[in-house]
Amino acid sequence: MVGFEMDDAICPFGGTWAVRISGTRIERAHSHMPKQVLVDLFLVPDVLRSPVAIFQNLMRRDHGDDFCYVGAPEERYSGDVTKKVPFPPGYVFVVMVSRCGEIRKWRLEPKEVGEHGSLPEGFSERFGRRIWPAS
Amino acid sequence: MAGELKKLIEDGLRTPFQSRPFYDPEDDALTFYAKDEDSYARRIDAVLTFFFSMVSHEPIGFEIKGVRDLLDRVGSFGLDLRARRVAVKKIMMGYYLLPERATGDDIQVLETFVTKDIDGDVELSPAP
Repeated sequence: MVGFEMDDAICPFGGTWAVRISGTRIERAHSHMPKQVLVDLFLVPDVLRSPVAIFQNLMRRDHGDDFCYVGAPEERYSGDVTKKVPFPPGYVFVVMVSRCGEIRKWRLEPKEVGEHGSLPEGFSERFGRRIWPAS
Repeated sequence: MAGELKKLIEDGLRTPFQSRPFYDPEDDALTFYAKDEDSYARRIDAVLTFFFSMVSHEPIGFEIKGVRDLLDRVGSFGLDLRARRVAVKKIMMGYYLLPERATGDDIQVLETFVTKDIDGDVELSPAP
């Protein structure tokens, strides 16, 4: 299966870059993941173009240079892709991207409570550093 | 690009959901969803993440990261290298050997998935 590619994702180090999802990964989502996970792929391009934050270093062996894009969509498609519904409050949308620009996963996660309410729960222990927006 | 993505998603919506674990070699992670429901992910520890139903907030799946490390902990027993298949229970054994891991209810949830919902092996397929 052919995947898809976009060339206007925000590059964590400035400008834009090309990122892609392999056909194999999409094929897995077709059969082994809930349909809403597949439908939420529609959110990925906008989050990669307009993230709230980008973290680097997923604190795992071989993933020290990978990125986590965090987004705050206002709405998303419901499961049958016929209508948009409000994005669930209390959650953010995260997209994990390898240092080579391969989209590895995308999902909803609970938001951190309080001052950092636009970031995923536990962000301070989970990621090495926040690299976008640059401080 | 938007049209290509739409087609990929719509094609997938016609494919039946299968509740089966899969291993992602690039991410080195085992993922399993028991139900086709809207969900969110919550990290339990550095290795284990649960997926919870957006409706009931009950766990409906899990992700185990760092599978190669976990298998190293338990050795090659039970690993069919030629077929590149491994019992999910073996990966779980590796997780249970971690010094810092979930306990109590979280372990019970994981055990229930492994004993009730998952049957057998997962393929350690080559990278896509």
